[in-house]
Amino acid sequence: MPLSRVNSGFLPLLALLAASPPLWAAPVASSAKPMMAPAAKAMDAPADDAKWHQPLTGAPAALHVLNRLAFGPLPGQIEDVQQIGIRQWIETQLQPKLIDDSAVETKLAGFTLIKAKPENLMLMYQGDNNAIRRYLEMQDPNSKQRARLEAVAAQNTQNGANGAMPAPDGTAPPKSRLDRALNERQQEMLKNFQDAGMTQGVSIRAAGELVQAKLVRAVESKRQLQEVLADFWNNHFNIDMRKKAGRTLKVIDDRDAIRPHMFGSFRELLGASAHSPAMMIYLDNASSTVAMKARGGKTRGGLNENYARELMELHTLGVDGGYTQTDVTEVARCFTGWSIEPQNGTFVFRPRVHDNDEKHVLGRTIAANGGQRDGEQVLDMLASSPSTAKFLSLKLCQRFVADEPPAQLVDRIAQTWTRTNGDLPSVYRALFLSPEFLSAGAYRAKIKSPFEYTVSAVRALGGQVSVPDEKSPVDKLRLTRIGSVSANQGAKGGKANQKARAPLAIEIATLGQPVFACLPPTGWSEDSSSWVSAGAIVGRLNFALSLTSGTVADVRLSTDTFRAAPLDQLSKQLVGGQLSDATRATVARETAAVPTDGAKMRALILGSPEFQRR
Amino acid sequence: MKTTRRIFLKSGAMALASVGIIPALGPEFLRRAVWADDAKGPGRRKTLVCIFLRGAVDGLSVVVPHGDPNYYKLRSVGAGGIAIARTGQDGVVDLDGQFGLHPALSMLKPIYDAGHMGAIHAVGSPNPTRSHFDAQDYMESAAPGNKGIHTGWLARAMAACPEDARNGAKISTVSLTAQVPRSLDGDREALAIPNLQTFGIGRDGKAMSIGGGTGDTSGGFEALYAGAVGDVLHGAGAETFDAVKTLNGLDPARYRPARGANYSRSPLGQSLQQIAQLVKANLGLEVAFAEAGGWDTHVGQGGAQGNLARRLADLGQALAAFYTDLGDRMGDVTVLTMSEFGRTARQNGDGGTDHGHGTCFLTLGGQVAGGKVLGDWPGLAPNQLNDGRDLAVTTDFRRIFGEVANKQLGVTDFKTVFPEYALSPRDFRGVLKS
Repeated sequence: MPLSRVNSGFLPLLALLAASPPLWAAPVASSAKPMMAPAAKAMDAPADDAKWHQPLTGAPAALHVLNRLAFGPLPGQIEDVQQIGIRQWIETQLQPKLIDDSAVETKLAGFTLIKAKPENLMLMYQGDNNAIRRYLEMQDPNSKQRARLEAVAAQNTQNGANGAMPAPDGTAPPKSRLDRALNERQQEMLKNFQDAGMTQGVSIRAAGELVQAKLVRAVESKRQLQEVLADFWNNHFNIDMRKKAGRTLKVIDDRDAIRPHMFGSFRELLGASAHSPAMMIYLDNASSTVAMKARGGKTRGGLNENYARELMELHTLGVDGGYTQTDVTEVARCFTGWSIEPQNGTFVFRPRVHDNDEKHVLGRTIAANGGQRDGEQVLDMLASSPSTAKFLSLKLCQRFVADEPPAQLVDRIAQTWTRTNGDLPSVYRALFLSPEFLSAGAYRAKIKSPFEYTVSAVRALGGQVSVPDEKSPVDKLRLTRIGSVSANQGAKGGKANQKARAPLAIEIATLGQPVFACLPPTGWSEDSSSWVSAGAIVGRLNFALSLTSGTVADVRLSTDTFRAAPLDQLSKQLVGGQLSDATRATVARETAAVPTDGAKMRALILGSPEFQRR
Repeated sequence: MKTTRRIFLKSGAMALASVGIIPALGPEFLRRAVWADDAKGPGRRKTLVCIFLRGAVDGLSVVVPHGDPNYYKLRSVGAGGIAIARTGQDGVVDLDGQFGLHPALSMLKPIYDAGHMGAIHAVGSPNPTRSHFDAQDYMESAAPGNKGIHTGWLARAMAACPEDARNGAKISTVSLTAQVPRSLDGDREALAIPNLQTFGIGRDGKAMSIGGGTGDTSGGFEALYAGAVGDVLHGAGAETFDAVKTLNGLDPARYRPARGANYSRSPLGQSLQQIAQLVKANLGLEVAFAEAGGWDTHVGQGGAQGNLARRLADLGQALAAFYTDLGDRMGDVTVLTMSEFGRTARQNGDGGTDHGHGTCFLTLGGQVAGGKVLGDWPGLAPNQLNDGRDLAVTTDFRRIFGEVANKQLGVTDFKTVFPEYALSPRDFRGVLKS
């Protein structure tokens, strides 16, 4: 039956039930200014507008900025931020270089793979492949596979001697597999690989280091806004490291393209991404060429529009940003020849496969014979387009304010963007110091992603993420497990889910957000309601239980974490005392029978609806 | 947050039921939704089970074209060879004189003979990619070559289902995987459950029991989510705890398959056993998704025995057990296997096969127009091969997806489910009975 024919008498009642926000969505103000009563105002449009101008103060304000510009508060940090002052704290975070973060960098000093030069990262991927692995296996006198093949070969020889049929055409007798040889290029690669001291599995461990470094920084870095922005921009310019050499080249993307340019202009950041070898591979531009004549009247090569399309749809203008399929093709022509140097994993422009004819992009002519300048001109045009200002402002507002941010705010941020030619610090400052950012409307309006949820839970408990030591065999195995979850084809999370002691990276993957392994080029949606689905909460509650019982393999918690403590104290530590009456009452009731079980009370608070929000 | 009409109706119905006013006020379809747990009621549905064979299965080894002499020119029988002989103990299980099942799939032959199993050969994508990554993405979005489609085809198919069919389902979409697969991206009611037996609050439901005195492990958490009617988390929380309770009630650890059905302990066998249990429980299951890996047989693929034979035996045993277990209920169920592409027609120097193009899908169920191998056979002569190396594609996979979506789920809006592809019922291959 269509909805329009539903008995009209009870529709408003349904709407009321569905629309009233929960009591705990608004801060539970005690000493702070009284907050509006959301349940009463929800149906009222002007009042809905007013919530964006209702300022946050006191503990809710400090909790809010720590949930948005950091990955949640550390124990005691809400009080610290209140003491420093919200504005001063934000200004400090906007200049990360002035914050001493040596403790984290010292901790990560042992991660040498992610510090490797591009040519070595490329070599890690190239040398760590099946052909070389199989070759090495045949070289190993203790290999079981080798023994098996030798047995078959012996049998074949005997068959031959008995006059049995020789192996038919096209088969690969085990003899040849035993005598497997590498071609010249492979031999050189293996030599370089071994000369560099690399061993099989190194590419997976490099991926593991990248993932683990992100977790360590998110949990422990004092430059929290830098880490939040790194998460945002890595997601905006999404690369799934499961695709080909992205496994190791993503290291360069995060390290040399995204992170050094997040506090510059958008044009610089966009340019860095456009030159990023991992991006070239992920969106196939590395193989996009002008169609060339080959023997026999055939053509070889040709245009691949993948990067051109996503550059406009996802990285700059947005899907409604006013471009056509013709523009996609023309932009793809401009980027022909933008590729990577397979020998050293760096960007290269190949003039011989570039389309040298004139192009027409977004109503403008790009003159013939521009070479690499064609692509740069396109990036200039896209970075300065009003559509880009609007699209990126909306996305930033979605990330930092609300899934459906107020249009006025988005407009103002877009104006700042345009006025400053996309100067990112100016845009950040305008956004984070806006009244809407620090308003009742924004407070707890976002659902945490699995990454945000797990990292904020570890931070709330004062936990630390351990760094596997490349020299320890057990740790090396763990690094391989962590790397495999993000860098291998196919989801391995299913098995991980049943293991009691998974490392944090696998817990996050199990919740549906493997680090640096989002398959579609969109990245994870900034509409946080997309993380709410039936069944998803089960995983989060189980994580809360694992974490508070000390069974997340690489999270170190102090013994105090497991001690019983009064509800008020824990509520203050974990959520700045901002629990709804209903949640407080439930936690109190559920823990009354086991007052000595400190883990249980913490698990309930970390599993509560309040803690799912930021 | 966008509330779909479907979720609105569902949570609305729940909210009304909880305050006890629905019998007096609710229109017929809402009332039905509330009482959906009646086993004779709408809980019994037609169910589509999709099994994704990730890694590109060698279709020429699943259903062997033993009548095509070129097959034996490209692949050899015996030591190091990967071809299946026409005759003999290790030979094909002949189906129609032209095609035969791999001997590791012999348990499916009686089902084929009963007309409840079919195969479609030379299926695949019009997109030439040989990347697992891209090809899986394209198949699951059902939009080959278009990376701009961010939802999965099954999600769109569920959204395009006739509205009444889904109302009141306790669990309409389940994926037996750790994460919601790409195929179901966009279906907000899709449950991803790697294992029914461990789907509960507190790992194994005992080690970290959190229910206080109630004995219900989810009690404390459920109460936390009960307070906030209308909130997005409340809705998901309610559905989650409902699902946990429903599934705990099934007691999956103690499930005994009917008629001696023998599921293997493999992940695929366990997934299908759990899907069978969900079907029998009349929860309104319409789409179930499972997957199995290990098909990327570049090296040492084997022939009648070996790597691929072991994977196929696992698949065959799982399908046969599922068929036996469900018995008459197979009348409501259609199983479809799929894989992102096939493999090279010629065996390579490692006794394996590399990334190819066309492959073979299998169907199973009471609605299957079975007992035959469908699809236009493109041949394996050098000039018939795709790029001179692979089985060509003669059936776009969307023609198969479209037919099962139409006949099994009642979908008629093909434009939404298959963007940029003009599909009409004339394109159906006759996979299912009309």
